[in-house]
Parts: sequence; structure tokens; C-alpha cells
Amino acid sequence: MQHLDPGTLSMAALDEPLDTDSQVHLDGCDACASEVRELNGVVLAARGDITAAPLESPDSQVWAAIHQELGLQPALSTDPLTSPSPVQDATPVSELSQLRAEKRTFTPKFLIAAVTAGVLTGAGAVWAVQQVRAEAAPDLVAQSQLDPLAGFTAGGSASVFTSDDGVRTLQITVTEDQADGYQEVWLIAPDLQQMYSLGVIGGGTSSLVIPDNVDLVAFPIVDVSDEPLDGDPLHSGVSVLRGTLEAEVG
Amino acid sequence: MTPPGHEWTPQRDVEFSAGDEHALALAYRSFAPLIFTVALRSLGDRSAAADVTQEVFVRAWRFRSGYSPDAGSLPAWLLGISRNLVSDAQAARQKIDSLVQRVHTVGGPREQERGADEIESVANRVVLNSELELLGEPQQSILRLAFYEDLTHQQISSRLDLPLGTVKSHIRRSLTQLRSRLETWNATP
Repeated sequence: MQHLDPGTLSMAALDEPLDTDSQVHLDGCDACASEVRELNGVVLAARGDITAAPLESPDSQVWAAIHQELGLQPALSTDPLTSPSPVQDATPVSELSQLRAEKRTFTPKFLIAAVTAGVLTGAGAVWAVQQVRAEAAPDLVAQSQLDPLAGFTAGGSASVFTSDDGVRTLQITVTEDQADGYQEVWLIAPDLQQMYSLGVIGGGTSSLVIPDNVDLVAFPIVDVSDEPLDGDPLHSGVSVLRGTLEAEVG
Repeated sequence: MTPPGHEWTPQRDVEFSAGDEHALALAYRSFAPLIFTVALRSLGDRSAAADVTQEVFVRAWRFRSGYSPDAGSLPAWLLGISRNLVSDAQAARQKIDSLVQRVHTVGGPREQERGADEIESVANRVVLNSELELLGEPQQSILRLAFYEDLTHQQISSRLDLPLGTVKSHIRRSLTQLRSRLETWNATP
């Protein structure tokens, strides 16, 4: 028996009407019904919050009282909620986690960070391509680890090889195909506005040819997207994995 | 305001339990608004909510030897302590109420039970709302339209000018993620 796909389960959890076949299945299937009930719990909890008001902060006296009652070190006397960076030795890690969070949300802020990082490593990558090409033989010229974006757990890597005749190939490995639709590979400019589609891949390792005229300086970001089967040729906006190519030196 | 979760990593759980005062300050910065808001909405009184917030962090620090990072995250533990304290505060209040109007008290214990459910659902709502903020865009807008404006996938797709397939996969992934975040918050170590 074919169970309902995750998208349909979510629709049911949000009380959207289903097509007749799905509804009939749901009525008769304990597994699907229990999944819908659990997701519906999230929906009900959220909908119970009519106000959806933002969190409120306690007054500064509360921290002062905690600080005094526990006899904490004087350096920590300022209310952590009002000081921008209350924790000296924690700053590097928290910045890192914030960076990571921004990256995952696909926001303009991340794009700016990517511009900086991408152009630099991209320039290095092409320099390395030229260096290696002088020595002949197909060789690894650039590579990147691929990290999952929010909601995904898959991992992967991408490597650029150049053959004797100058043809560049992107060899890409994904640990798991987590797309709802299909996985499409893109080379993207740091501004995330311009991009080339290199093709569709499955799980495991695939090789895709990089068109000659694509400049890796300008398009250093390797992106694997989840493309719905909607006939729309544009990037869906849902990225599963991403990384920025870096030159292989030596 | 910094939503919870941005700065807090599993490493911080370990630092807290090892007695690092900086980790306590960071925990306060990350989670005091959430705990204060849960207490405020349950008790309806800023000064009582402030007392609960203070007591949660004082107790958490004093009894940190009873907290094990392996058993669950610190925010879940803090939320557990605050539920107990809110419930105690409500019970104390009810006791006073029932002394004042002892003639008309109806089913004291049942009232208290409903109180526990109530705290639970307030906590869930507050946690969900703050987790929604962490989803980023366009997920947050999509989910808010689905939750609060009760729009269908199709309506959200045309409202935000996003392909239907994209809306669908964001919704199903975000719902699953929110469910697991709720479970994390509700896991009592």
C-alpha cells in the first residue's frame, strides 16, 4: 500500500482538503493518521497563539538580583540582555554559529558574506586551473565540501577536474538524496543572482561537464537545489547543499 | 532581541554544567525572555513573572550538578524548572483564593490539573513562536500565513509569488522541524 507523501501529510495537518484518494487512504491508515495527528499538534499549538506577540524581556533588576544572590564575578554585573556581547570568551563561537544561521536562511546578509569569500577563493581557483593546465594530465584543480542548509542533514563534496584537452568536469558526491522533487546542480555567482544549471543528479557520485565559457571566478558557489516537478526552469529557492570552490594548491 | 538558539550550542550546555559563570550569563541572555514570557502569560503579572525568572536561574545554577548535558539541552531543563515554579505560584495563589472564598471552592485538584495543561500550552506557544523566528525567510512568512491566516498552500503560493512546489516543500520541512524542536524543548532531562 502506498502511503501519503510528506507534502500531503502536511496539508492534512493544516486541515486542507485532500483529493478523494488521499482522504480514503488517510481514513484507513493508522500510520499516516498518527503522523498527521502529531504534525497537527504543532499546528494547533501555533494557532492557539492568537496574538503571536514577541517575547518580552525581564527588567534589569532580575539579573542584578541573580548576580547578587549567586555572588557571581563582578565582570558579569551588566544585564546580559542589554550588553551586545556579554561573554568574552564565548564570542568567537557565537559569531560562528550566527554566521552559520545566516548562511542557512539564504538571506542577503549571507550573500554579501559569500561575495567576499567567493570572489577571493574563486580567483584562487582559476589561478590554480591555469597553473595546473601548464603541466598537462587531468587533475584536481578546485574542490569544496558541501554543507546542508536548514532542514537538511545530507553532506557532500564537489571537485573540479581538468582533462588534457581543457574540458572541466564537476564531480559531485551527495551522501543522500533528500529532495522532494529532483536534485539540480548549479554554479552560482556570489550575488546569487546569476547562475548556470549544470544538470540533474541522483544520490552518490555524478560527473557534470562545466561549459567552457563559465568563469569559476565569477561563479564559485556550487549549489544543489530541490526542484519540484512544476516545469519551472528557474531555481526553486530551496537549496539542499552548498559550498564555495577553493583552489587546490600544489 | 536575540531569539533563543542563535548563540546557544551543545558546547554551552557542557560549560554551564562545568560551572562556567559566562555560560550562565549567556544562558540568561538566550533564554530569560522566553522563560519570562511563559511566566508572564501564565501568571499575568510582571512582578510574579520576574520572581519566577530569577528563581529559575538561581536554582538552575545552584543545582547544576543535577543537570546532565547528555540527557538534554539546558533550555529544556530551564523550561522544566520554570514550569514547576509557575505551577507552584499558581497553586499558592489558589490556596489563598480558596481560603478567602472557601464557601464557593469547586474541585480544587481539578483546577490545578488544568493549570498544568495551561502552562504546557503557553510554553508550547511561546517556544513555537520563537522557533518560527529562527526558521528564516521565506519559511517564516509561509508558516505564519498557514498558521495565523489559515491560507491554503495554493493561496500562499500566489500571495508570496512562489512556486506551489516550493511552498509545499517549505511547509512540510518546517512543520517537521518545528515538531522536533518542540520535542527538544519538552524533553525533560
